[in-house]
Amino acid sequence: MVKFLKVLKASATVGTVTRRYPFESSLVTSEFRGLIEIDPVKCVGCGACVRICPPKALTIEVNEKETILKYFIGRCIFCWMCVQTCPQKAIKTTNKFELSVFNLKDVMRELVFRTVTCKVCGRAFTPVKLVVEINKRVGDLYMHTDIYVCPDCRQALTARRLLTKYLGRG
Amino acid sequence: MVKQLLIKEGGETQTVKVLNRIKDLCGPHTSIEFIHDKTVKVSVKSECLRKVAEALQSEEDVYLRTMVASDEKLINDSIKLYYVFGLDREGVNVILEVKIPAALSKHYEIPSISDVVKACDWYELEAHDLMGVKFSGRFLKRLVLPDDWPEEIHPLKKDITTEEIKKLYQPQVREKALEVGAEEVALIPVGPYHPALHEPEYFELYIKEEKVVDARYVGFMVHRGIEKLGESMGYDQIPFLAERICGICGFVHSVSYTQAVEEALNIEVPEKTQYIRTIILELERIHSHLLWLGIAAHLLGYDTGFMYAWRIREKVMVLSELLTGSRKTYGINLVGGVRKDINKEKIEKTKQTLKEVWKDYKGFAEVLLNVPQVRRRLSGTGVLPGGEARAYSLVGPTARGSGLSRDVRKDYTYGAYHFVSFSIPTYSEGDNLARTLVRIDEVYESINIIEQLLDTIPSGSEIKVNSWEPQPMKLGLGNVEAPRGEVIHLVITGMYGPYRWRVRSPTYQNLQAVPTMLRGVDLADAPITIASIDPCFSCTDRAIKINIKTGKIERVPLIKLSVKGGS
Amino acid sequence: MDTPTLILQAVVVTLSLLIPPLADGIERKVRAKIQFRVGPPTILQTFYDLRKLAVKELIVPKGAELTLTISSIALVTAVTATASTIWIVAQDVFTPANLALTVLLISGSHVLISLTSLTTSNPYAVVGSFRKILLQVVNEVGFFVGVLYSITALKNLTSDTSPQLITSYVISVALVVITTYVSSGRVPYDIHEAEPELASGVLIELSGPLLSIYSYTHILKKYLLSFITAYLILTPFTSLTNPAIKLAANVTFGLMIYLSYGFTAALLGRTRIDLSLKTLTTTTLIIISLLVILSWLSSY
Repeated sequence: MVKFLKVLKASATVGTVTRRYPFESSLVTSEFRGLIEIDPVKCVGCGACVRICPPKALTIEVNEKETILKYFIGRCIFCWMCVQTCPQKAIKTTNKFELSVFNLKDVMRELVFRTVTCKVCGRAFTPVKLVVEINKRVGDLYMHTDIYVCPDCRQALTARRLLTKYLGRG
Repeated sequence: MVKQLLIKEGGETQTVKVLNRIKDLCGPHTSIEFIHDKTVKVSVKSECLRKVAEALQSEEDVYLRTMVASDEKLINDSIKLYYVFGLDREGVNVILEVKIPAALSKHYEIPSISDVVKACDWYELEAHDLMGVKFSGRFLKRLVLPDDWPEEIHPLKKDITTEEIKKLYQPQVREKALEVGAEEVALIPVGPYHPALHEPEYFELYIKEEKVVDARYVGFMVHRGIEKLGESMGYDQIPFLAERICGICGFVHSVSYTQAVEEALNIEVPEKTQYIRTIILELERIHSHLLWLGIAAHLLGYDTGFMYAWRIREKVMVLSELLTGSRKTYGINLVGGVRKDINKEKIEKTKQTLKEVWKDYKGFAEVLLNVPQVRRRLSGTGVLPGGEARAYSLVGPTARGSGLSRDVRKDYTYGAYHFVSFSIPTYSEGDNLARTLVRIDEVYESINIIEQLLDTIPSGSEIKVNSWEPQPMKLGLGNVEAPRGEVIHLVITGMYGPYRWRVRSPTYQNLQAVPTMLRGVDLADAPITIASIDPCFSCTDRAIKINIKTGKIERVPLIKLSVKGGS
Repeated sequence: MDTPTLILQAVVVTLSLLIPPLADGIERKVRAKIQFRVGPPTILQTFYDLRKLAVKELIVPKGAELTLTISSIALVTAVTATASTIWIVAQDVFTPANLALTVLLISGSHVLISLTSLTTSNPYAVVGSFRKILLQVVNEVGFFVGVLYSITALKNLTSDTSPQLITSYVISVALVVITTYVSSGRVPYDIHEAEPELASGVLIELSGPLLSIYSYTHILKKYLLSFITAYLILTPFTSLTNPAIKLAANVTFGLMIYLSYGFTAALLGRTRIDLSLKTLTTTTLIIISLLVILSWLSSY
């Protein structure tokens, strides 16, 4: 009946387990998944991370002048799917978790890329860095000039080429 | 061939018996198709649905596991209802498929079976609200959707997208504020809240002299439309969403989902994946039960016990972080595999931590059960007899506290559970103490299971399949024994993501029995009784609002508890 | 009475009003230790808490304008009760009239503190208050009888050491210990405010300065009860004649009783109103009948 007094024994042997955080260090293991950091040098703005990101914390925006990769920490669930997907290994992992800020802007990260305009229609469609990277990877396998053509125009271009090839000029 | 598969030595199995009975009732041309090893789909005409339901309900160890309404207008010009009945003894799922021609769907009525199968009550109401299915022979009312939701818009139908819904319906906070003349809009959440678990819920207790004479529950405060959202996401994104259905036992949802997809598409996952998933599932059970025990102690005023339990739980949380990378919402599950391996070093660390936890936990359990007030207030309160538990198709520790040894880890085995031996603690008293004891014993079993798994875990590094191809319109079921009871996901596959994804959480089944438990208890014991099913309102509210009929007891509403709006 | 004594008395009484929050601070540290926690940063935390609450804006519950008045009177009563009791002990003048005054003041502050919550007419507060009143009705009887018997026994112990009298003294002090523990509103008897279904019961409408007044009154009351218990237990064991040392001993022992109550509370769970009434009534009745039998025996 007095077995409940055994809690005192536990208290005496275990002692205090809470910490005076933030005055004492916090506890995270080496495996903890924290904030991600995108390396602006390695990143080419291909958007693979944007497509896999479950909470849509990563978004990409293409406009006339530039391509903007946006990372909104407020939405991030720290799953690191982007890290796994990134073909450039441009996303660095950390175990940071103290993310509160005073200014909303501080939870937004942006990477800006210069954009290539389509040789045919003049529409901005992809970051320059991505084109350079593709060039580097595929080398001579692909017609270099086609890289500067937007997907829509390329479709038309290819169709025209095929027609020309099999049906002759016409 | 069907029969050959199922006949074991010793004659006819229950499955064969049930299937023959269905053929007798619906005619010899009824289509019976084994879509997976242990899942059989039976097409039933709506006229004979009630007869079949009656026959199934009268069978022993058979219960309604879930019911899914699916809009398949674009595929086969119909809306379909899938009633999933489980045959516990053989671990076989019988899915009754009822077809509603899309053209007639506005007027077509399906006979209600909620009077025969008690658990079907909410499922029918949900199908009515979200899919516009009409049921005859019962009272239908708007439940899931808010009162000012536009008529004739059923959000789960395929002809409306998430974006359209967002445009169509926005809570009118700003307008309301301007109406009353407020210059700036500040949204202050006032009630409803849980007396204990701090989740949005609303109980009305009718009290006479400190005794509860009746109870009413209104939920559905946090309906998030997750199923609809899931239909717009890719296969590998959903596990992360599924994990966020519940803040305490999220991993069970991601495993259920991935299992459902894997079953539908016949993906064979590596053995090590099964091991890792099972280990994490059991680790989650330990932390969830410790959390619950702490809350229970707190509800009974024993705060030292609360701190004690949560101190032990902290070790498990840190261990989870070591194995998965996160304390909660582990995020390591994908269709076809897991993302994080468990190496030798981690195995050793886990074993060592579990040993400490076992010792510490044993001391805690002894202390908790011997505190005079805790013991006294748990025993004999919130009684739920076994018969009621069976009638309501209850699951998990709630069912096992009332003498039903229902546990999907054994009955419909999955993961790596068939590699280990473990027992299922069952108590027959049906009171709060019985449910507490079930959870206390289960923690020992879980530690035991993890230790066995760690001893036999395959040493290879293959933890996911290399690639898999989605095929449209395949049906798969995935179930997991969550800390709160069975979770069951049903997935109908599409090309890029699931075509229909149905989640059924344990609280959805168990909450129906709470008013029965509450009648006659002291007001002061109401919180622990409500908490004794370990309710998870976020899980449940994902899909439905529940209204318990108030019964005919003459009552004196002395106080209305949890006054909405804090008057 | 000469001026230095008067000043000394004033200092003692003032100090004694500062001891209760300190006792509460120590209790919180002790409880934290049992619960594996660091707890509040210092033992002065209760002072900070009370001060912080006191400087918040005053919100008087709607339709309960009396709350502020009543709680202020409750505070004044509690302060008076504490001061007068300590003065009585310091002077060692436990006459029946003084005793009556002390008990009246303590009960008065009990009643007033319950009234504070009742005037808010919040359903949670009402249910909580009624629970408290039910418990207090039984408890107060025990407290009266206990104090009365033990004081009488103390007076006679100097001349008479018969086993009846000693037994009578011991069990009446036991009754005082039980009833003061219940009155202190600690676990398991915090059913008027801590039960989860009551939100925070009697405290629900109180905030800011009102809550500060309430809490301070409550702490004073808790300390006063331990002080009286300490006096009753300590007196037969000390032959101190210097009133100042005697008072200091009593204050220290009172603090120890306060802490031991807090210690006990950390080990227990909360009872239920029907269970607590049953237990308390049975215990009180048994002890009272024993006392009656004993005094009947000794009168022959």
